[in-house]
Amino acid sequence: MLLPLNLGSTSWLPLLVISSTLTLFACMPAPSSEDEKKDNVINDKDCATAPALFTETVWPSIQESCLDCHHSGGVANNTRLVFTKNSDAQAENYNILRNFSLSNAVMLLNKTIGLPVHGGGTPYVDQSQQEYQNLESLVSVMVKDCGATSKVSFFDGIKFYSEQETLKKAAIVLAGRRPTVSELNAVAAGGEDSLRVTIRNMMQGENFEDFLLETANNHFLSTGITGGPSNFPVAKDYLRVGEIKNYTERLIFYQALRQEPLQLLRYIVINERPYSEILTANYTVVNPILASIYEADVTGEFDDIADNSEWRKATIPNMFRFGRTFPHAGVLSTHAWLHRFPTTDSNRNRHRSKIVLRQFLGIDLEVLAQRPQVNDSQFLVPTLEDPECTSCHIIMDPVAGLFQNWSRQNRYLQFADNTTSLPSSYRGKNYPKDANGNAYYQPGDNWFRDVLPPGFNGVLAPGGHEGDEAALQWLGKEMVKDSRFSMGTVHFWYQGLFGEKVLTPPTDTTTRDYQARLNMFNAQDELFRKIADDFSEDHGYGAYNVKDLLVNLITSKWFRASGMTSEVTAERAAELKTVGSYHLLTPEQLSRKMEATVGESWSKMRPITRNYGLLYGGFDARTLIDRNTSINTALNAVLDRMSNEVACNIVRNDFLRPTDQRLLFPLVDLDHTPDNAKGNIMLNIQYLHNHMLEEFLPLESAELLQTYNLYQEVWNERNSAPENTLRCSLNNTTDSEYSGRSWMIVLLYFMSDPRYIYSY
Amino acid sequence: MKRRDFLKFAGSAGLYAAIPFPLDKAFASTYSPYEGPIYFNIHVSGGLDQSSFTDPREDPLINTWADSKDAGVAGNIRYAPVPGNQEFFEKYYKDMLVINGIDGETNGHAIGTISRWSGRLARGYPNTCELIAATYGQGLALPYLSKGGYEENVGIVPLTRLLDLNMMKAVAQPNQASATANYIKQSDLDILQRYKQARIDTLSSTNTYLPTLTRAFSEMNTAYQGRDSLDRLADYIPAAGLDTVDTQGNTTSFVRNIHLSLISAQAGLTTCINLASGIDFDLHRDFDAQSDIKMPQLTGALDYLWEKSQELGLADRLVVFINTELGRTPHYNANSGKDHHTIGSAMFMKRNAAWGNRVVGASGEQHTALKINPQTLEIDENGIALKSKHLIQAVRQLAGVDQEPLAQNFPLNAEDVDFFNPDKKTGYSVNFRA
Repeated sequence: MLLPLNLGSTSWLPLLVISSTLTLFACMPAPSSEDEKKDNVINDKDCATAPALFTETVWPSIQESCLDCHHSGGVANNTRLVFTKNSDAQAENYNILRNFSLSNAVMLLNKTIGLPVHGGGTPYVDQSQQEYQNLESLVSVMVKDCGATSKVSFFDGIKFYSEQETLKKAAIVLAGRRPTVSELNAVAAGGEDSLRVTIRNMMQGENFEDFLLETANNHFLSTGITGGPSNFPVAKDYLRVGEIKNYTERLIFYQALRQEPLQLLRYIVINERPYSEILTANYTVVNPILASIYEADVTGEFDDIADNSEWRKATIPNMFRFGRTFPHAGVLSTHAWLHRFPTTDSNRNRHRSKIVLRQFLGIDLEVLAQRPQVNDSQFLVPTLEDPECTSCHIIMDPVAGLFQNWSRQNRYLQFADNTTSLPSSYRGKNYPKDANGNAYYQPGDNWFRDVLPPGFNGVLAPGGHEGDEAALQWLGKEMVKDSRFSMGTVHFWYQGLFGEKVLTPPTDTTTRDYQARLNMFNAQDELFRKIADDFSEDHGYGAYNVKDLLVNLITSKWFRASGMTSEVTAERAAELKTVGSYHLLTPEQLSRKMEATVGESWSKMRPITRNYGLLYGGFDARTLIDRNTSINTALNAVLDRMSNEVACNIVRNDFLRPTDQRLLFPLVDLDHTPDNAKGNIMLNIQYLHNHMLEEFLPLESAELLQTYNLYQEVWNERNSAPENTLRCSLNNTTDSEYSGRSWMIVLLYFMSDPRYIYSY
Repeated sequence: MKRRDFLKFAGSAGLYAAIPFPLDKAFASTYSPYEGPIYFNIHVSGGLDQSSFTDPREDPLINTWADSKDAGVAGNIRYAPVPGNQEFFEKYYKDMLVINGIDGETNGHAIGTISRWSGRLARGYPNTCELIAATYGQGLALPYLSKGGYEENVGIVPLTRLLDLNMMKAVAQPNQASATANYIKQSDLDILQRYKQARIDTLSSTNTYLPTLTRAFSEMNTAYQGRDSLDRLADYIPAAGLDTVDTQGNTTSFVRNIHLSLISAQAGLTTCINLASGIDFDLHRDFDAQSDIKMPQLTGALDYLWEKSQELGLADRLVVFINTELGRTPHYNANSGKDHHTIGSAMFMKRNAAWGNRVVGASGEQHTALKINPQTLEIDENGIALKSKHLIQAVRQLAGVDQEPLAQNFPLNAEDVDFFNPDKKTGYSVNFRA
């Protein structure tokens, strides 16, 4: 028999009213693995008695906040932390807690404040609460008590880059260049403090802004939006869309739309606005064409209205159908963001909910739990009523409800005389009725009544099912108040700097490397949590300052890890699998590095959405949304092709410059050969190892000699005939001694080196 | 130690994470073309409706065609009487093993893709192509080709994205400026290559690098090993370009990608291809009208795959696994579409397979999951519900990689299901009119 949902009652309200102790909250069902083992192992290192901190302080709190779920037979019975409700079992429960925290201390503490997600909500609210701090104190006791060995620091045995070396790495990523001599000298003299200032000062200019746009696009994927005119803003909303004259103008308009969320982020960071404005900005940014079509109120004036590369802050003061200001909500209300993360009549903004939680709070909703078989559900609306479903939907659906004003065509309140975005299929008389035979839809509604009402973190949004024209703005403001916003921001920027996504906690305890993965995750999480805490504070440039965050990430141990002090075991190596910041440079980063080091890049590597750029980078923001992080034969062949095509001109052009302006060959000339100038050649090779690969090698080193041998062997074969006609400006007329062509091979040697194509 | 033995050792010691394929430089490969089975993992994008394919229901509320038509039958396999199916199933039923009633345990596209292709809901497990490429593809230039679908790479073997034809030509001969000109004297490049290899050897000999860097060196070493064989590709690239039209006259990019994949396989460079259909079956609106267009595109492309591989002399080597991330609801929504459903179907195909013409697993009247006995394969309420882990276990078994140490580093913890026993089957749980 189906259990009806009585809409006349407020029986669903308790699901939303989440108290600080969360005793009423339905606990999350079992995690996905049926074979997941418990950590409640009693061993001979267990304590005979529990310390007073546990018995008098922590345990009463656990009893009040956690025990209802985390006991044998409780809803959390299949988790790895299961207590006994036996009142005489304090020592037993202490050991259960202790054994769990020996390997999962960070997770234990995180879960009490709902991080990253916790079916039991946030019993200890946040880190400032006494309950949390008591538990944290107890954790530090538990790892040492009863013979437990003190933990080795995760970073023991790891070497780190010096301040100058760190600066060089930062310069390539942030500024696409090598540090200047004065920057290096400042860091050498001023140490860590100077490093931080110098890194910060690098965060300007076109290359840094490109870094911002690329990082933003890794997440927003806005350059990948496609579709016909009906998928883009229409004249019914923006009159001037109807004035677009031709296909070219339309393309320029669409290109601007794609850039809008990326440029908004750039604006916020460059102007050192609080990053929270990414969700709360009551403005957008426009270039001249967007300004025109939006009929925007632009701050200041464009230098050149024909130049669509200039972006300025703006608002849309008059929505055509409404006669009032557009409800800007940071990136969330940009067309491109909504278009890229679309909805359907049945999806009901759940996809957007998932995306916004992931991009800004670092929450991955889809790993919460496997979807149960609701075909057998006793409930009329399982996502509203069935506890097996609501564990996920109670997080997802209220957030989805805050996108209520944006239809699947990404238009604002487009139906029923501009009053709703609810689809006609839901509002129509053929839609299934509720348990009482009544229609779910009521005139004036703007959210589905067979979905949980809009809200966030257990707080109902204004308007309920009737809706609110500023619902999305409300969401942005609530999200930035959430303590997870800072950590979500760390995750967001991590990928841009490190070339990889942040680690996620391993869930399958049966895999061989589970412990290694857990240790790795815990170490990274702990490090990033400190950075996240710092992010919310003002260090002179305002709270939520992204530049400060980037400095902290770059000066972190994770970024600066450079090697090991000694050979490590396989198990330790597994633990360190992602430590460090070496990553395959993206096509954009490689191009910038080439321009800085060899004077030019390869035009065929751009745009990255086509041909070689796409093959090498593996990213088009449309169907390919994860960048290549590994080199393989095909990518190596692309590098070969690139180098073969550009090396000749690079070498020739460099030799045509005055000696003091050369990037590559300041110490040799074309008439220098192994016969008459071996010393010069060696010195220049030494210079190139430094300039190209950041390798500082003495002249007598084996690697330098190896490079010289390459040069010499090629030069020795100078008289052998080529197999084919050669397309190269270095020939027997322009390079009579064959030294230029020998240097060309040496250049290829450097350009294909791992220290060049990776972020060394 | 032979490389394969080394991999077994590395796998058994749990070393795979830090020491990916292949590291032992002493066995820099002498290239020989791959001549073993060619595995095609076909991802039908968007969530293929099981009721429109191999698990039909003669219920008009589930399928409007049931008002006027009966489900088709080819051997032991039932199929939906929608455009393209009859020709496809009647032609290939003997080569098919249908798996029905698979519970992907999620209704989301992204996690559904992870679940149905890796065997579990969480990230971090490889596509079987990566395991296959690691086991059989040493020294090959393009052991693991991919375009779309599940592309999570766990660091054993990097995938290579499927190139377009011009790209293939260009990377196959990176020094070729034109038909008659090179950029650089080839003999100079040959000298260079020796020094590059020596440089990698030197860098790799240092044992105090971080694992990220060790992995980078290993990948470059692997990349170098495959470069000579990449030249072979040029010999197989057709002058006329790629096919884009399938055997039924449908033009799709799927056909082009299949052709491109077969070229690489024909050149002996590839062991496994992971390919998304590009034909989107996420039909939340106007299901029937769109499905009538897309189903024949899918079956037409699959027919093309077999016909073309026959033409190229590869058909007897193909092992095709067709999977999707979701099923679809056993009813229409208010927009005449079908929404997501956790229960769906998959299919194996192999020419003249002894295990062909069979159906394993079943779903109920409303496409609910039914349990089967993993040994008898019969419906059994005390049995097991087929899940993604069982499916992927089957894929690994068929590819002969399930017992490899690398695969065992990614345990599926799945009950043994006798999928490939020709004498056993599940069949269908429902009755059909004809």
